Amino acid sequence: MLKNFILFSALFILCIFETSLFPNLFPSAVSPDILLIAVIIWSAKNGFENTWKRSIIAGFLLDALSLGIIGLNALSFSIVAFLTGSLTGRFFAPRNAWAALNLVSLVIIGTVVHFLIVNPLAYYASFFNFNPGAFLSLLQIKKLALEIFYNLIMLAIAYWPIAKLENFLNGREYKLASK
Amino acid sequence: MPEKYFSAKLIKLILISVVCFFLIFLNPKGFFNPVRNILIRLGYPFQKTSYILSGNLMETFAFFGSISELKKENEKLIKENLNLSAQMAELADQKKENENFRKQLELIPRDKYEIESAFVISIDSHNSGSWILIDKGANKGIVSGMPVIVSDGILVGKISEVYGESAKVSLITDIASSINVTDLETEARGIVKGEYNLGLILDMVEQTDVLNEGDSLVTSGLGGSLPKGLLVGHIQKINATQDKLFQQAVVIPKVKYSRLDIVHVLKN
Repeated sequence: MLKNFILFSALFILCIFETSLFPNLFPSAVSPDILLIAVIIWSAKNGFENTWKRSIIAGFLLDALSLGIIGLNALSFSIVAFLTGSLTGRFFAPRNAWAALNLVSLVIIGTVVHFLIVNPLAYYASFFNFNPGAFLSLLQIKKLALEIFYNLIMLAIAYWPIAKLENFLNGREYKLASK
Repeated sequence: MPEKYFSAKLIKLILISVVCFFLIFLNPKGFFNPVRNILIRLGYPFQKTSYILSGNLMETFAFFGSISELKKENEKLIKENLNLSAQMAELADQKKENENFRKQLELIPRDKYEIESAFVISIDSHNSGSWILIDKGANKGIVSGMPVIVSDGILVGKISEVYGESAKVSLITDIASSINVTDLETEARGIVKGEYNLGLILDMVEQTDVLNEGDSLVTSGLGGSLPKGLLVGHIQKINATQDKLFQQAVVIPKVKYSRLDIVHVLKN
């Protein structure tokens, strides 16, 4: 119960950072997606089976607090978590010498997938029209490149605290189980 | 063989996707508004604190970055101050003339608005120029549809959703935005629309009307949703083609939306 409360609080705070703190610190049209980074780190460490619930809750929180379409980020995070878990299991072993590079690759792939899911669906669901020409314009590609860059910086900053949180939560579970 | 492809994980993902798609298309019905209201109320103090904190941080970084420019800036400001003192006397006359013009054009005098000032506590982090969140809501008598301005009558957007202690403002650069405007110099009428959150486009101006680069566009008051006389922007470039029914122009907004701190809601 306490573990769930701590996890929900952590997700809530990350969501506040993403919706209110970062947009002011990054005044261009792009800001880092820290919840996406957290989902990728968790699913790389624990797999999709142990991460899907967190992905959905993180997505719903972000949809609600960013005044977006409910369900959109939840869908995207779930798909990214599944993809990350599958890729980690088959290609990117978490504890080899290339672990850091593997994580960087996962973040890049995750950011691209998230971008490709959220943006068209957001336009379509809001306005019932979607212009592929405008979506694939140079500006959107530049936006995606900037988003990947910011997410990689956020990965470097946020990896340690998120990994620590995960170890803390797993440690609590272990202590409770051994009692 | 089918079991290999339809693992439990994949089935779970498919189910989650189906549920999420269903929820996405339920959004226009407003089913999730009670839940969203609760979460926004919960997040409101944190959002306000973190937005103000990040604003202060940006100012601190900007200050340190500008230290080398301070001496030059200081000399420039002293010169500017002397010029401005001379201009003040001239402007006093122009102000009187402006008030007379306003009366003639039947524009609403600025001091007749009932204004509610509000801090910006969140902005659209993915499509800059779509919306902002302010720290006043139903508790201050704000309702959907109220216009939102900055400084002396520059239109920023309209209230689109209201919560207990906050409200969402749809900016004029939002793709769904559409405002009736008049060219202040030539009295040409048209509609300003948001363009994929990149800027503004003036459209539906008749070919017989005159547009000039640099002209100011103000709200015309048609439709009744916005008062007359609020500044929208200036014409940057005119797209005149003979084969189209209407003229178009690119409009530069007067305000940089990523730098908004305080806005004013017109309550009457």
